[in-house]
Amino acid sequence: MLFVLNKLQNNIGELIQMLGGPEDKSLLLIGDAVNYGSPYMVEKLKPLFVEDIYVAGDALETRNVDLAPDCQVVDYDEIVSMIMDEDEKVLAI
Amino acid sequence: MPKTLTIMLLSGAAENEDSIFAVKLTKAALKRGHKVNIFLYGNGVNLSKKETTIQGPLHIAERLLNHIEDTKMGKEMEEVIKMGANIATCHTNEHARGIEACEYIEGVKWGDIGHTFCDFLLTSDVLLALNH
Repeated sequence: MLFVLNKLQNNIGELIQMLGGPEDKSLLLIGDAVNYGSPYMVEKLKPLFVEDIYVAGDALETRNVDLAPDCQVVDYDEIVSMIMDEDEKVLAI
Repeated sequence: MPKTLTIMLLSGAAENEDSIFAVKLTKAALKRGHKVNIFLYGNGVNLSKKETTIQGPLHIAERLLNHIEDTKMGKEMEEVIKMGANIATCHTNEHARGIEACEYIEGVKWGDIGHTFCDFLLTSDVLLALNH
């Protein structure tokens, strides 16, 4: 299950938990949501069965965010693969 | 195997990065052989129209003006249409914003939520709704 996050929301953890339950999840962070890639936020997200966190490279470049080591920076070709081929469910929240 | 992606875009240009992400994703998906539909809804309907230059004095600093101009998406929309993207808009959302009679970018299709968007949904493998 892939969650596409494009904005900061104060209830993001609850939303992910409610929509994804105990299923393994990947997060794709775009736009302002790249801030969720910070070490502090990744620690908060990992207990929600979040396995992988991907960060859009162009959104990261325009922001001064130090990513947690677990995050992987991706380009649009990789994003297409993730959205179109790799995950059975894609949720944009 | 080629699939169909539908993006429901609810943000216009210069509000946030949703439209920029949608266009870049569309280009990348089309290059990979996928089919892409974009349904413009909410403020996204502003992207369906030809851009017009504002006449008269501008009360805005040049630096900010340059920033805003950079986020305009008219040329990008034209480009993805030429690449094969199927773009439709919601005419009632246009009407609510007072732009229903303004000229569409060439290739953008008049549409509505009940028919056009439903057709997109019924023929899509992936739906991505981008909003703020």
